[in-house]
Amino acid sequence: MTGEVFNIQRFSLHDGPGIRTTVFMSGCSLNCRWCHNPEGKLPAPLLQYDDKKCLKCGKCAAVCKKSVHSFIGPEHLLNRSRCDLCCDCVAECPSRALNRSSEVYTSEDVIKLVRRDLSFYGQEGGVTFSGGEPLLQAGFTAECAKGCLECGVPSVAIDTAGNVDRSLFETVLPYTDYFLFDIKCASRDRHVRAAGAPNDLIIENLRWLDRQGPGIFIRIPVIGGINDSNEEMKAIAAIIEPLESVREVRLIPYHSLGAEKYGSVGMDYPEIFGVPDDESMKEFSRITGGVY
Amino acid sequence: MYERILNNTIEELRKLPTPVPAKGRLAGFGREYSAPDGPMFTEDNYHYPMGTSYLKSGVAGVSQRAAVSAMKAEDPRNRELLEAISVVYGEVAAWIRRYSESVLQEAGSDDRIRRIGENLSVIASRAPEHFDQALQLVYLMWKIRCLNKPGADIGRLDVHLRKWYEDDISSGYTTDEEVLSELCDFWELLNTNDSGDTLINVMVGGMNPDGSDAGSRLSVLMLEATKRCRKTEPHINVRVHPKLHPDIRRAMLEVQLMGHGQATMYNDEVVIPGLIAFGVPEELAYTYTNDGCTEIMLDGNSGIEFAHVDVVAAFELAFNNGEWAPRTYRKKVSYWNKAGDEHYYTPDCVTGFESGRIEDCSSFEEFYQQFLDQYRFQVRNKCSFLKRMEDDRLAGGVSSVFLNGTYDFVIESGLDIMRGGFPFADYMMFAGSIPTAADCLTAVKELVFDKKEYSVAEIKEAIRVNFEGYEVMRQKMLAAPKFGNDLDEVDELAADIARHFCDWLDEYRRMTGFGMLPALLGWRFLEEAYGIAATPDGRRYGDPIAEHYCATPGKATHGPTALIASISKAKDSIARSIGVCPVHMTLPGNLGSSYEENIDILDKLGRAAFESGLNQMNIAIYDTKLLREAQKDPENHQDLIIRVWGYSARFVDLCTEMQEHVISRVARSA
Repeated sequence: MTGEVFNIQRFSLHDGPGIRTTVFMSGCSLNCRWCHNPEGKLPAPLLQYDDKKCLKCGKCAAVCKKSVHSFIGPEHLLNRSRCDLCCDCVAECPSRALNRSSEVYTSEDVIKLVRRDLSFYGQEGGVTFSGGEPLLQAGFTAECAKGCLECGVPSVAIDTAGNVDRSLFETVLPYTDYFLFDIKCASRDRHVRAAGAPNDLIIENLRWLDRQGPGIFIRIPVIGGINDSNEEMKAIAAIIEPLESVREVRLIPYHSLGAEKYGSVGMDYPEIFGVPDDESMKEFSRITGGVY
Repeated sequence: MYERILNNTIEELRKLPTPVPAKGRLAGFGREYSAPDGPMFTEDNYHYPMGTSYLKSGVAGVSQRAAVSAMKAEDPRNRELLEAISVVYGEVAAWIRRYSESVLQEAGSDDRIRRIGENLSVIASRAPEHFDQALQLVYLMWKIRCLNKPGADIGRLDVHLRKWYEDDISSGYTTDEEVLSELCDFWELLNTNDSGDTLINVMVGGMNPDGSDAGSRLSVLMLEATKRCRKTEPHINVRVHPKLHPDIRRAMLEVQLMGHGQATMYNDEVVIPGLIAFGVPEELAYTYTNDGCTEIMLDGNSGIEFAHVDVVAAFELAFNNGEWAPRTYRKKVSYWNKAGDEHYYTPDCVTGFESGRIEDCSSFEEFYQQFLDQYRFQVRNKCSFLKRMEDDRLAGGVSSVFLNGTYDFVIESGLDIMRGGFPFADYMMFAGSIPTAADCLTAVKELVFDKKEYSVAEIKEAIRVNFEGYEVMRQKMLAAPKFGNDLDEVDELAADIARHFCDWLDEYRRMTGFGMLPALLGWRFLEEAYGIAATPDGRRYGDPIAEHYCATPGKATHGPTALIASISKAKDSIARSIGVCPVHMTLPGNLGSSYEENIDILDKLGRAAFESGLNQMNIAIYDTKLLREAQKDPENHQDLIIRVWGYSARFVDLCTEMQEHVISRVARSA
């Protein structure tokens, strides 16, 4: 089986317990306004361009049969509508300013890469499937997870936003030790405004998952102007409180590091949000029982 | 033979001051008193620890033992040395006695000073009876040895002092807190001598021949003292093995988490079998410790001498058929610190050996063979240099009488350590920066031979002008596979160079009988970056080259596990390179989300690295932002300590080039 993967990061320390390898899968069912992985939003690859790396040498224009690239003075212009992702320009670019945003991997490819760090995982570490939304490629994720466990990877974690059909959870559940589960907002309307979809399914899935046994790591992105109020945090805490499988609640303060990536895939960065201050984070931590 | 040495030593010992310490429990002085270079210090390179005869017998006892041995010695040279030792140690005892009297005279009702005076009185006349006396004696002897230098190696201090520590604890004479306080005083005294490239190393832990732990609670206290003092000296190291006590491991991890680039770990399970395979007797192999950089030697059983061939320089010579690359640029550089003189550096290689014209090669394999021929020639030259040094010494080497007297085997035989007295002759050949050479070779293979994108003439011209006007070419070179990213094509090439290097030393030993321990390390990588021209891996002149067998700074972009995987592909050569193969791992500040998680991550990283065959590893943790702030505001960052090569130093003391080198290390793993 194959899947679309936009990054594989070794020695990942913030995606579940221990030292992990994180596999970032393409495609997402939400459209969070602060998302810092725009290349992970779409299921299909994009041509990525980094203007800071570009030497303006014109080699891409010379090789491109679709005239995607043009140069006006020092400016490198891309007409993405013409691009068929043949990636001839990527191969030709000397400075790696051009890239394909994701690649097709077989499950064997993924397992082989994850196995490379087997000796570093200890008893708790392992592989995390993240994204995007890894459950949108649940079959591929399950195959990778199963293969990893079979070759001795101590644990599999799935980092999900939860906005998928229950059956997709059921597909991966037998091979998953931990879920990193995002809760962005408690209120339905606020969630729609923030992430482009309601949160009913997400909360329903979370409650169902809680009864299935795997450890759950709740992750709450704290976004200025979206959910950075005591009321919202209290409402989120009320969702978490009855759950029995939660191992950790982690608050993740907003950062704007993804801004440049939007430009690289030809998207406009939608908004810049406020970064919560330390005092607020302390208070939210108290309310939710979370760490940050 | 020893007359000049003896006279000068007596003269210097009689001039020694007797300052009463204003604080702490140890007498002694730092850099405020020094002796000029003179015969007293003959042939001491300070890179190895003294023996411990004076701890067992006391200085007066050493004097007596040497006198008795002298009467039995048949060889007049041995007899002369023993007689000289007897006189010198009598003088040492006399100085300590003077010191004791001076301190006791000042003591009045001050119990602290009185106790120091009484301890001095004991060690002037007999062997130390308690831990504080033994520690006092170690410092005074160490200070005498390096009166003319910033420091010298110390060795396995926890093993040396364990008996006194455990006796005192079990008898109730002292407590852990008192011992810790005394160790801190000792550490502070060391820091009053100098900071940085001082050679002052302490090794703790380690395995005994029966597999048990040579480490003890005292090892933990020494690591705790490093945590408490937060200074650069001493450079503390730990010999790691499966039975290392969890408390020692925990204390080691806590020191590492301070981010100062200590404690360096040595892997007993690789080093000891490697030493035995080399021919070191088993009982000696278990005594190993480390030199002021990172080299392996035997604690109290060997000295150390070494030579170094920079492989990137050998690559440059191979690329230009035995000559340095033509170039339009050159810049002065410091050794490592701001206090050092700036100078033009030329790598220590011999030009003129025509290994062949790359222009005539029809395949990469042909050029690779030319490179190996050139490198082998350079290595052989250095082998001959070390062998001649050994031959000269065996023919009539004489050295410091004071130093000789610290070794029990010298007191028994009278055979000077420089005339074959050491049980093991530790000669070592360094091969630093192999990964950068592998990067260069891989780029040449890809761009010249495989893809044929550039001619050799074009690359030479680009190098001549430091890539000015050749940025497209340089970017393609940078895009070629780089060591440190778990890419077989370049990692295996580096491993092959390392294997050849070890083979050449074995070959030389078979031919001449002269053995040298291979070491995949180098310490002049900063100067070499300014001695070597730009290189075909896309490196501009002055940009860093690899330290030891680590990736070129900034080029390992897949994190620490990939870097370790790249290095471990040479594990067969690393097992032979017991000199050692230092791995510097620089991690960013934001590891885990809690202190315990950080400890756990460091622990797993270290264990896995050693399981994969590494024989040494140093972990430093820095925040790039903080280093930049320190560059702008050195006054307020005087306490920022970082790892340089075999030692830690204050960041603000480094020359600008070394500061940039250190920052580029961090970037590679951030």
